[in-house]
Parts: sequence; C-alpha cells; structure tokens
Amino acid sequence: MQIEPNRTSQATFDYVEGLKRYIAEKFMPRLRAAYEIREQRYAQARNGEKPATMEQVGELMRPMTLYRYNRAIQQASQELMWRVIYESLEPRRPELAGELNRPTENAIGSVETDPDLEMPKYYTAVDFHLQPRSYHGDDLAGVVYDIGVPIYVLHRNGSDSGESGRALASVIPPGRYEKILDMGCGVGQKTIPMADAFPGAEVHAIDLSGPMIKYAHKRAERMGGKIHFSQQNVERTKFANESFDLVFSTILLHELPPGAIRNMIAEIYRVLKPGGLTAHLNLPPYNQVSPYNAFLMDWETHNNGEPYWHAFHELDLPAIFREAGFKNIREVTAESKNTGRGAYSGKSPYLVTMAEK
Amino acid sequence: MSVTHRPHQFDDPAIDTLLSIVLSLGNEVFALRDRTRIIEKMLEAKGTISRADIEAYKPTPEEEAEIRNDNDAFIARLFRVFEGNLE
Repeated sequence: MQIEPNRTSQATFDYVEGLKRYIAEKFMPRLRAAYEIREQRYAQARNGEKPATMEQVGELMRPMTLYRYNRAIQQASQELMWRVIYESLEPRRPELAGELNRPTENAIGSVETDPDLEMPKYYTAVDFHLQPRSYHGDDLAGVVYDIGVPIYVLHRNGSDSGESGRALASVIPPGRYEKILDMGCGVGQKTIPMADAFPGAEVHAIDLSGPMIKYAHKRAERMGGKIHFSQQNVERTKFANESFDLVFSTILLHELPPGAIRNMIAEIYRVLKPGGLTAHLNLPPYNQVSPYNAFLMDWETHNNGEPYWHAFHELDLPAIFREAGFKNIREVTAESKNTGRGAYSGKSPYLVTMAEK
Repeated sequence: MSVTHRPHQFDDPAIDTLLSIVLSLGNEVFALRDRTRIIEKMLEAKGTISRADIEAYKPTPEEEAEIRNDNDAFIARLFRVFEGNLE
C-alpha cells in the first residue's frame, strides 16, 4: 500500500515544508536576535544576571509579536498539513480502508487487532500533534501519520522514517536478543530498523491504535520486515512473564502521563527475562538543555496536542527504573543521521535510557 | 479535553484565525504557481497538455531543487514584514 500524492497535494506538502524551513532557518535566528536584545536589557537591570529558568525566558518571550507569529505559523502550517493529507485521501477512503482490513497474501509477519481493548482516558482525550481524530479515531490514521511525519520533520528521518530507530540500534550493546518487543510502535517506522539491526530475532510490536497497527503491518510487509504487530496497552500486555530479551520504545514516553509511564516500566520488568535489557529513546529532559531551548520545547505541551510533554521532560526517568527493580541504569546520547531537506527546529541529539533486569 | 478548542498564540484568537486564512491563501497561490510552472514547461516541450498530465507530473531532481528555491523565496516575500524592526 503506497500512496502517491497528485500534483495539487504535492504542491501543498511543498508549501508546508517551505513554511517549516522558513521558521527553522530564517525566523528562529531572527527571533533569537530580537530575544537577545531583551535579554541584554533584562541583564542590565539586574547586575548582569541573565534569565536562568525557562519561566524567566518565557516572561521575556511571550509579549514579543515575533514570537507569537513564529508559533502561530508553526501551528497553522501543521493544521494545514493534516487537513490537506486527509482531503487528498478522502476520494480513495473505501479502497484504502478495504485494503487495510484485507489479510495480506503470503505475509511474513502478522497483525492482531483487539476491538474490545479499552482505550485509556489519557489517550482518547488528545488529538496527538493536532492530527484530526488522533491515532485511534479514523481508519486512515496510520496512512495519514506516515505521510505527515516526513513533512513534519522535514525528512530528517530518512526516506523510510527510520533514522531514530537506527540511532537507537547503534547504542544497544552487542548481545543475543532472540525475542524483542517494541512498545508503542505506531506505524512501525522504528520497529523495522531495529529488526534489521538484530537479524533472526523474533520481533513483536504493540500499540493502542488499531488503525495504526493495521497500516504498520501492510507497511512492514511492503518493506520486507518480519514483525508481529498486536493491538495492546503497554501498561498491561498479554505477554507471558520473562518472555523478552529486549524491550524498547522510541519517542513514546512523552505521550504518556507519569502514572502510565510507571505502569509501563513495571510491565517491562515483568515481561523481560532475567538479564534482559530495556532501552528508551527520547528527547533530553529540560535540565539538560538551555532555558531558552527548554522554553521553546515546552510550547508543545499546550499547543501541539502534547499535554504530557512538560511532565515527561521534568521526570527523573532513571529513578523510576530504579524503583521498578532495574539495575545498571544508564543514559547515553544517540546522534541521529540528519537526512533532512534543511534545518529542523527539534534537532537536539536523542537521549537513550537503558536498564537491565 | 479532546482538542476541541484550538490552541491560540495571540491574546485575541481572531489573529490566529486570520493567519490561518492568510496561510491558506498562500497555499492556493503557491499551488497556482506550481501549476503555471508545469503548464509552461509542458507547453514548451509538447505543445499540448491535459489535466491528467499535470496531476501526474513528476519533476526531475534538478527541477525539485529549483522549485524548493522558488518556494523559499516566495515564503520569504510573504513574511518580509518579520525582517523589519518588529519585536
């Protein structure tokens, strides 16, 4: 199942990318320069003391017309992107939905949905990244997400959207990982590069969304990835105790409230074999970035369908792993190869949190 | 709290709404520019064209770069006001 946009849709995608490139390459430096003038004035009034917290940065930044426009263009361009992707797919909806529900011939992997799976409230309450009807409320959510993400990140994750999966694989210590689980796999953009990195392993991937895993399965089969997708909740899975050698997630944890993260980590402890490894790739917490960048990052919380983003970036993740019984907890930086068409605002290196049972 | 009410960046959400309208208009102009470019290219090459030809049009990598530069210049002109003394 491959979607080729027609020229009219492509022109809009080019336009949205142009807007995002404009924000990252031209507008952000301009905003920074205007901010620095305010920062200087602030410091002059306080014996040279500069804003030290993201709240203080915010007090200077929020009144700036440039800041408001910068963010408003970001938001409106994102809304435009989702709208046009849906509009372009609408005429093909019956055909696409039909194909998603049809079993794949000669499949090497598998897919198992669970129509009775209860959707957590924290999940149904949000249109993640402002995607209309979010991940669970539209048959085409997976298709739409897979078209949108490369535009959203200006193609920095490679033509298969797999660079952050490869970045994670590059920091996993060598070992025998016979059974691997991807938690919160979405459309499997990172599952496939991780499966490629550990050939011969039996790879499972779970997500709350039926539409996402149905599409993930079609996508993996098209790309030759042997993955077993199932619709499950990361907080309590159907897997047996001590069944996996490696359990991972990529850029997932900020979509969960802290309570759900704790449940997920306890569940990982249960399904990991003794000596098994768990690894989670995320953006770094606020105390590891400058107050200026933390303030800009934090915008997502209230403006981009990311209500748990702030809490996650202030969370002491290693402490949660420790409390769950894990040992050898460590955090390493993972650089993702940027294949992008132009700069991207969120280009800080990833942080991988790893722990052993 | 499904995102039923739209986040807004300005104290008066009407400005956000207006910006959405401007960006949509920009999108329409942009798509027209794209179409005009294709029509010109095809007319030059073939002398006659159809709507299907346009929708199926695939630019070469060199042309894609040319389109990208043209796009960036278009957007920079649209937002020229932000390069002034605005804070």
